Amino acid sequence: MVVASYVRLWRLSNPGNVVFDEVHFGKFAGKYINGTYFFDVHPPLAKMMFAAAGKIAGYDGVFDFKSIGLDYAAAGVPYVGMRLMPALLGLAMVPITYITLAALGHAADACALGALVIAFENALLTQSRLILLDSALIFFTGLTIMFWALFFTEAHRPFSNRWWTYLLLTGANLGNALSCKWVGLFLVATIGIWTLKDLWEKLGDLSISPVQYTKHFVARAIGLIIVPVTVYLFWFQVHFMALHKSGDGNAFMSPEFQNSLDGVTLGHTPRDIYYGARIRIRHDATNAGYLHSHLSNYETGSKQQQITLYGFRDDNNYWTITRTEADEEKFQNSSDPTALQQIKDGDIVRLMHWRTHRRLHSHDERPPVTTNDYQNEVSGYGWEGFKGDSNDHWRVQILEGDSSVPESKTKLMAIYSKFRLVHVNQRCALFSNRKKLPKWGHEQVEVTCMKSAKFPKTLWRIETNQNERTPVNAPLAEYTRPGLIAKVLEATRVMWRVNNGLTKSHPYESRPTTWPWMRRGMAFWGSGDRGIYLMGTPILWWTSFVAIVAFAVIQAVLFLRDCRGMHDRLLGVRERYFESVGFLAIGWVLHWIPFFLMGRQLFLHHYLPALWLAVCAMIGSLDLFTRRMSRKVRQVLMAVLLLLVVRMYFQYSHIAYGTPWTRQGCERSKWLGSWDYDCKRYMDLDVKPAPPVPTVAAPNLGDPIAVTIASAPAKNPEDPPAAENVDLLEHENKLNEPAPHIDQDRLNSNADRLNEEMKKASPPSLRLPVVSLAEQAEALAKKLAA
Amino acid sequence: MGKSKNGGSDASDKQQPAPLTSDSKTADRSFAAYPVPSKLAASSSTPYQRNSWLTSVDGPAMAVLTVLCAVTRLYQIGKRATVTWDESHFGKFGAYYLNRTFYHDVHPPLAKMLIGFSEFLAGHNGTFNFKGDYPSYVNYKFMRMFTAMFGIGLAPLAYLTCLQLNMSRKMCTLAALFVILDNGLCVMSRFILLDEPLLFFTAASLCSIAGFQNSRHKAFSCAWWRWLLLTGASLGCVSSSKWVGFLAVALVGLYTIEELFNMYTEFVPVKTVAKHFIARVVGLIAVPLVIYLACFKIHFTVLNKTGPGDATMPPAFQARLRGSPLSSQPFEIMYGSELNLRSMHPGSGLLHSHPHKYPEGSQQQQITCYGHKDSNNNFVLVKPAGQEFNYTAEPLVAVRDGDIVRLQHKQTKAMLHSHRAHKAPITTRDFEVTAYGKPQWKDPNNDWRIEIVKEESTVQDKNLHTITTQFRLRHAKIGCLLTAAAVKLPSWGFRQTEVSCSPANNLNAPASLWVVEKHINKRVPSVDMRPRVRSSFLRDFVRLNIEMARSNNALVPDHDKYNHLESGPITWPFLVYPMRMLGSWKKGDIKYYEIGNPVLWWSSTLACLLFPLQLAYYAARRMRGCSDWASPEEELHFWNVSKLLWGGWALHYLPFFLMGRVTYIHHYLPALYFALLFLAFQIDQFSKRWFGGKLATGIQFVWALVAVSVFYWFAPLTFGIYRWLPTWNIYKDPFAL
Repeated sequence: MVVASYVRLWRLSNPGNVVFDEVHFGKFAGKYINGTYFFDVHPPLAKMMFAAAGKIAGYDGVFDFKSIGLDYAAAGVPYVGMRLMPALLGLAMVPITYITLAALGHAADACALGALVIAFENALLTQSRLILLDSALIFFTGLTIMFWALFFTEAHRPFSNRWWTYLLLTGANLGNALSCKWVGLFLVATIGIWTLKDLWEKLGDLSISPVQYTKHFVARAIGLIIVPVTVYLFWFQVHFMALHKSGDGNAFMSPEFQNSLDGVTLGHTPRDIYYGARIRIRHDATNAGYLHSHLSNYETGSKQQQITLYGFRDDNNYWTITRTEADEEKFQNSSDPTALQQIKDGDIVRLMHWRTHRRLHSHDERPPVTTNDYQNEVSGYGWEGFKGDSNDHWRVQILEGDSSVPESKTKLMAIYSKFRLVHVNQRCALFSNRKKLPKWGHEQVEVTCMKSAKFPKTLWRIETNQNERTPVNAPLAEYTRPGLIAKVLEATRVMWRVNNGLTKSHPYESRPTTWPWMRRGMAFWGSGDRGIYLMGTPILWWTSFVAIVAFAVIQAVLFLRDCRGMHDRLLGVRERYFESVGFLAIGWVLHWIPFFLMGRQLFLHHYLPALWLAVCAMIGSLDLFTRRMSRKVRQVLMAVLLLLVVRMYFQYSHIAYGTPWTRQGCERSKWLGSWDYDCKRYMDLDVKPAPPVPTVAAPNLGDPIAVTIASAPAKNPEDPPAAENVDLLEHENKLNEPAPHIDQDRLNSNADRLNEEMKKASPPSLRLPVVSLAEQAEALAKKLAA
Repeated sequence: MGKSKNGGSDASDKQQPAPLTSDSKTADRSFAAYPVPSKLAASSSTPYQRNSWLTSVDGPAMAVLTVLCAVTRLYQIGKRATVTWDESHFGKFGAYYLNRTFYHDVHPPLAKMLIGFSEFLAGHNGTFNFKGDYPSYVNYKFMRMFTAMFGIGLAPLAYLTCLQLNMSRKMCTLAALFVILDNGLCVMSRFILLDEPLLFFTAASLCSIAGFQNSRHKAFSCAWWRWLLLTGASLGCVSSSKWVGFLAVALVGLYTIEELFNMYTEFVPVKTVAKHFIARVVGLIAVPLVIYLACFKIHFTVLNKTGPGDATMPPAFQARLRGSPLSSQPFEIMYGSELNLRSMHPGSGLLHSHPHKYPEGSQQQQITCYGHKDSNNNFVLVKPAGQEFNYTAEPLVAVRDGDIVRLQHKQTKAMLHSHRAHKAPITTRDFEVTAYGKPQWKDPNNDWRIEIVKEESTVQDKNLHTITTQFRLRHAKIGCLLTAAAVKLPSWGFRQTEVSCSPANNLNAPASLWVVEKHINKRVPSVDMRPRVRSSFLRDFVRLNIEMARSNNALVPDHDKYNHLESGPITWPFLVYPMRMLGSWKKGDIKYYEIGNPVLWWSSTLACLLFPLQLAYYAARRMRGCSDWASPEEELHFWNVSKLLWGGWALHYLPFFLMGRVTYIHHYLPALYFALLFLAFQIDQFSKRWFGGKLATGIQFVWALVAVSVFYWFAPLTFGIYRWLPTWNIYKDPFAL
């Protein structure tokens, strides 16, 4: 332990800069401390642990971990405390390895050897020294496997206290692992398959009565299904409680979800929609925003005014809903031309953009991005005083209502009714698919009118309804507040969608085929003559892979020989070999093969849980196959392995800790040409000491990648951009970010002018009060209070 | 059905198999024990091992079933005298074999060649292009009847298959009735389509593998060999009809692996196992492969004129087609020549430019690759800037390996250009390639070096030649290679292929290899290209298969669009979205509706979905030491039948979930065939197990009666009179706006 502590904790403060994905996870810790909602593709537990560590160490959540290479010390961030957390978890892997191997029935010397080689494994070491999620994931994976192994040591005393303890602890840690990263699902599969195998064998054991068998079954269902799910939900509950304020993650979530955050008041709007109301319409399927228009025109097709989706609330989202010209005339001539008339399913309406007086319009032109021939462009057309034409006619088709208000299926109601807008002439439905317009469209989201569209992406909801003539006691509509399960389900769905969208290429991504033989590592950080490069201890990676392959081959041969009636005893360790190494090998397979099915970008560190299992399997095989040898030979073998591992630990420690090295030493250590850590950054022994390396970072160029490059002595284009989430979330964030602001002032002044003119000109029945939002909100609040 | 009779006599020879131990030392003998437990080998009269399986009843029974099936398939077959459903494709493809022009399609050629053959018999001259009403000179009724014959063949095949699976004759009849009475199978058998041959060959594969299984005790006998070779032939035919046929290959493959493995565990000597293995390699790999190859050989031989499919094949192939503009061209490429360059990467196309700019990067003129042939593909090969040369007057200079050249886009006069400053729009590790600059500008970024990689003609003079020379274009300044790897640009690039300059220096990547497809130079005489281009059947075969796969994968649906033809695999077994087989659905039209017999679909689905549970139940019972079987033979019979029928269903159904391309309900029909047979088997199992005797017969009879009446109810498919689920769009489309 002492050795391990030294190895794992040495110079934890180095480097004193933001490294690799610390950009994200440091930032997220800060958000927990501030309590503002954010969105990430991983479940919350590991991030909350960092937040707790940060809190204890005294981090105040101000520093924003904006880009790789930022200096911690200068900003006064207690990063050592935060890094201590994963380091300690990494350290805990040493005893966990020992106990796991012991519980799987291996000799003490083998267990010690296993613990030591894990302590000296460079990749686990590098990964556990930084603010990254994997350390926590590996820790919980290890704990789960350990308790599962211990559970089997109690198999002869089922339902005893210890038996229950180990079972429940397995389940709890399974839940924890799953709450760190979804890779935990592979662990679920591992435990699940082994449980099925065990239950299947118990089924054949006729000494177990059906009642007892049912007890076994139920116990496992509780321990391995109910407990993990509860733990997973529990951590999400903590997550939602910690992040109670609205933040930059809002835009990913549904309005119902947002409504559950502090500082968000969506809805609370008069429920019934009457003609003449000023409304804001939200696209229901994508959360991409509100139906929007502004004073810029399409550069393609009709070149009329753009209609987009925009994620943020501003006055350009307001639309006035009116009758068609003919209906209006009829209504004016009716007995009571001032009566309020509610909009019903099947009504034909027109929508006028409140600021610019353009009407929502569509025609037989192709949209700018989605150019399929069954898509029509949607534009804003008309001018003040223009009576409009029949291409402005939209039929309201209500498809879903709220079960609490059954009339919302027949009458248009804010929030409750989900409706389509069907263009009467073109027979197409207003549609959006998260496609972004080019620069001239301010990178907002395209809106089209699609023929034969399926329902989901043509559904809209009215979120705001303003009408001065609404009766005082009119019923209000508001979003329901989702419960925990609904929130977790929604968060999970969004995480899944975004996760699958992470397909952009990354300079350090790698495919799973290259992992077991460690074709290439990953550069985490580089500055001056120091650099961190994630790379494992080669001998451990290679021998552990060999051990797994050997297991598969041996089992296949044994099976084929069994079929011909030749039953080998395999030095008397056959059963143990299958129960111990077999379990670990299946775990390895399940932590490796599923990655092949993933289309998203993958990195070497995704292999680390599988690596730990493989190393355990290797040590286990070594133990079993050297049992019959003389003590001396066995000990020599083990010592040689340990010495090799330690030797390699020292050799590659420079790139693990980020300490200076020599160029010759570095070049010599490159056994595979594909290991692309940069040797040029190190001092060349043959050359006189180079002029002092500039340690001051070059002026911030605004680009996170550029910063690292600028501070390196030689321009090194291989330095990593922040991995994973930057690329991943970039697309999403852009979608949700306030699109680069168009000259709102110009537009607004223009619109104000138009508005003034409209006020003068428009007939009284259509005239809308220009009530400020604040006033409106106040009025609503009063109504609510009443 | 002559073969069957022989099979019968073979079987009767084996009426009294001698006990194992007394057998003489032939190779067959050692295998006679497999896989029937030795108890069984002694008595041949068990109900699960029928030795003389074709009795005097079977011939007439099959004849009656065939006639019944023919009635359902042929009744009013010519009622709609207009090209219906996919006849517009497959009728046309058949006609190509008559007018011998080369076309491209996603399916292998056998079934289309059969259609072509039927058109030949019907006296069609290949001029009708299958649009609108059939003209008087096209005997469409005969053509429909010809393909319907394959559909009719399903009924006797179903009977025969069940017989081979040792099901009782009642059940054989029931299974065949199910096949006859399914409206979905019926309506798809009435038009000129690929589905009938596909279904027929699938059924033939199943029948012959069942026969092969049934003759396993007579290894290497005549009957055994015949079934083996028939299986191989059917597999060859089914996979040459549609690629879905490979699923039947998978079924037989898995069956064979299990069989060989069982032999191994049954202590059959290794030598015998090896003999079995080699026999199967010949019968199940070599035979189908030869048939598949032969179909393509005929395809290439018949289609020897230039046609609409030219552009999918490499220029060397096109040049060999009669009438192709590529077959007579100037051979030696000179400075000043006008060229069309084709990337060797399948699916990339011809180097292209047009007066549109990149929206990002340098915002210079786009360079793309484009499959269609037009004048925007013409580039003039000129000398680098500064080397004055009069291309119309001075003596011609040939282009040699290592020359530095420029390529000028003929229409826009801009030069092929690349630069370090900008990354390619999609493949960001490469540099952008644009069309830029005026001819007189001395811009070294316009210079490219020619590196000849391979010369396929006999003229090995290091000069550049039309079609036969494969070469790289290396940017003279950056050193990157002009590359087009079939990566599609977004809509601003009109979904054409991205062209980039790759610094990776992949010397033999086809994406970086180019050939001159078309060469225009008035000063160079044209020569006949045909003797100069190399021809290799295997190379063309591989290339055509790659192109088929590419076109197939390109059939990706828009998931937000409702299309009344498409349906997802999950909906098929439940018959949620039947399909209108006509574009217009107006009152008074003759309409065809692809809807199955709901009772048969739903009950067969139930039978198939129950099976895994059944297996788990039996396995769990066995673990507890309980047996559900009267005898081991009964259990073996259950397994032998269900593994082929249920396995066939699963293998013909589940893979569709993995397919990205659009799927239609008729893709389920091969799986349905297996499911219907399996349904008959399950009815037999359940009714015998739970009721037995007369009641079982009664249940089976009722089932048949229900199937008949439901079939009758839906028989006027053409009119559509009732709907059971709201999603059936017989009358009104729920998604119509």
